[in-house]
Amino acid sequence: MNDDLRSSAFLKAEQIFEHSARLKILPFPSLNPTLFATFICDVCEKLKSRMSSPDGGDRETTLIPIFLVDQIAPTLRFIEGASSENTPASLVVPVERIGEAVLPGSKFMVCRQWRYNYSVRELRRRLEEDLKGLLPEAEHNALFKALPERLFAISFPSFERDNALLHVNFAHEIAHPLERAYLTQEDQTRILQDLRKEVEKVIAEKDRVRRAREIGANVGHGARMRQAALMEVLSDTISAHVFGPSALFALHEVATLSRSMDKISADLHPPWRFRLRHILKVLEELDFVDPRTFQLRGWPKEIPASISHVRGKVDGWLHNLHQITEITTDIDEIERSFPGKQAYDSADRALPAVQKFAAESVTQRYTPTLFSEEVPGLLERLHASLPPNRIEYTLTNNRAVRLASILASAWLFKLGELAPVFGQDRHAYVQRVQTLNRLVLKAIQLSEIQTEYAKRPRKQDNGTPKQA
Amino acid sequence: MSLSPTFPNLYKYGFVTSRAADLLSKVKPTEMPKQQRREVFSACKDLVEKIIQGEGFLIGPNPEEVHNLRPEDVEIFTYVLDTDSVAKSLAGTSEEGVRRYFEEILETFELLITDPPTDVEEKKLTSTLKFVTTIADSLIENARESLRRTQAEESSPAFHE
Repeated sequence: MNDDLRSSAFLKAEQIFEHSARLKILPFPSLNPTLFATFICDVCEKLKSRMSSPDGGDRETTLIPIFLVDQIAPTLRFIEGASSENTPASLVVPVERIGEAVLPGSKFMVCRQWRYNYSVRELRRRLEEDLKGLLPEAEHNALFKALPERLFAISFPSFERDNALLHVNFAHEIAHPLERAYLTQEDQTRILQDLRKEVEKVIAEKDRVRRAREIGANVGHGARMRQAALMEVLSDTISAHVFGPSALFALHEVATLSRSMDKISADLHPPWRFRLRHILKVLEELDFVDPRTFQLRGWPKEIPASISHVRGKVDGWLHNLHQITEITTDIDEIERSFPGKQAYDSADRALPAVQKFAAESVTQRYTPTLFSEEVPGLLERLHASLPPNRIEYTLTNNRAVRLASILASAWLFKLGELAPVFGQDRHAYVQRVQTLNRLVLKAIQLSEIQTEYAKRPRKQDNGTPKQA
Repeated sequence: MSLSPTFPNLYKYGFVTSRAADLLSKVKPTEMPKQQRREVFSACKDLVEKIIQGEGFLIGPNPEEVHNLRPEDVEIFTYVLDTDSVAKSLAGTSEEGVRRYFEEILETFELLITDPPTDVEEKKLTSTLKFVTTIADSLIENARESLRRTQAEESSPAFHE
């Protein structure tokens, strides 16, 4: 029995090793997938040597192949999905850079996934914890030394690869790992005690042990619900700080596909209406949106005629969004749910602290001033079917713009100039949106090249390097 | 009884309890390799401390006095209460008995990590072995359940069977 199990587990480790070694040589837009593929090969080597060790018992030998198939093999899809072919390659490095600024010491892998959502998965810590139970301390430490302190796979829906506008949602995913930092500064014991007191009021069971079990289950469930609500708000807030109004536009596009605007989802995500309401409020606080009129701020006094109609359309869109968030059917749903009500009451009390924490976590904020300086000019370029990559003062005097401005201009162009139609023009609409996305991806690439070029030491006429 | 999909450390404790069960069933504590004995039983001790935290919060006489509680402590305690037949039967008769039971197991792990290893009563070793075996087997089942979930997570884009 033991030998059969060992051989089978050994074979699995070998196959995963070979697969990872093959993936390692794919072309990637960044170095991180290769690093991770090498690490997976090393994990397989360690597990193979563990299975060859005489002190491994039956249970351990039973669990290793399950671990390999459940935890190690699925990570290969992140490596495969991160190849240049499978990603919006020009966007990968700028997105990684945002992540590294928000979470110093972390590295990211941008990859596709087949499920229709954006998600983030920590690749190091879970495996580090899991393998702590199996490998001797010294071997364990040596194995993980090769990886950055934290490594994340951030995934996007595969067929949306070229939908650059939607990828604003990456900022939301990048922010999720901050939840750990936020939660460690909370007094978890007090929160659980408070939640317990509220849950206790509702549980009718009299038998003390059955009652304890029921309270335990509901406190646990409520705590997870509370955490999910706070963490979505935290990530949405950070997304708004990084990308400004585009964060709202991109979030709304995903929300329109949801089954319900009002229900807490099966994986405990808060209702979409709840999230849209919060992100709109953050944009008001950041001065991107006027809290009385719900109009976008940051336009110059004189808007060029070619793009003047965009403003009205965008303001109309924001007005409609405001009306969606005025409806409170999501709050009614929460009030009726148990332990949802108790969890959200507790979350509500923590929201100001979460938003403050989010604001302090972003060092490079997108502001209405930057928006005002860059976006109108970029909209003009888009109107002329040019990539929105730079501001041209004269033909020879120009500068690259920020990623957030490129994406903001594209969103405004889409909302203001590409009204969706479903008539004879529907094919033209699709083509115009696809062209817009191509222009955006090209703009990101050009802006990156220009920014990198500007950093290089220039050569003087005699060939010696000159200060940039 | 299943742990929630978000429960951290399923495999960590799965490996640890599996190794502890394998070790305790085969070798006397005094004959176990020092490093392995220390690493495995220290991790088991951490697990039982979590269980005791959860017990203190949900059943203990002074839940207000529990400190450094994590949501997973509550989950692991309710999980063990449903999984381990001894804890389950004690819970039906004596709340103090549940606490004493876990404290005895904790004490055994503390003795197992001392250097040189202390003699542990046979009875205590037997009940500790029974406990880790039950938890290990149950965590292996949970790992299989996790595997089923992982397979469902990334469905094929081409077709569903």
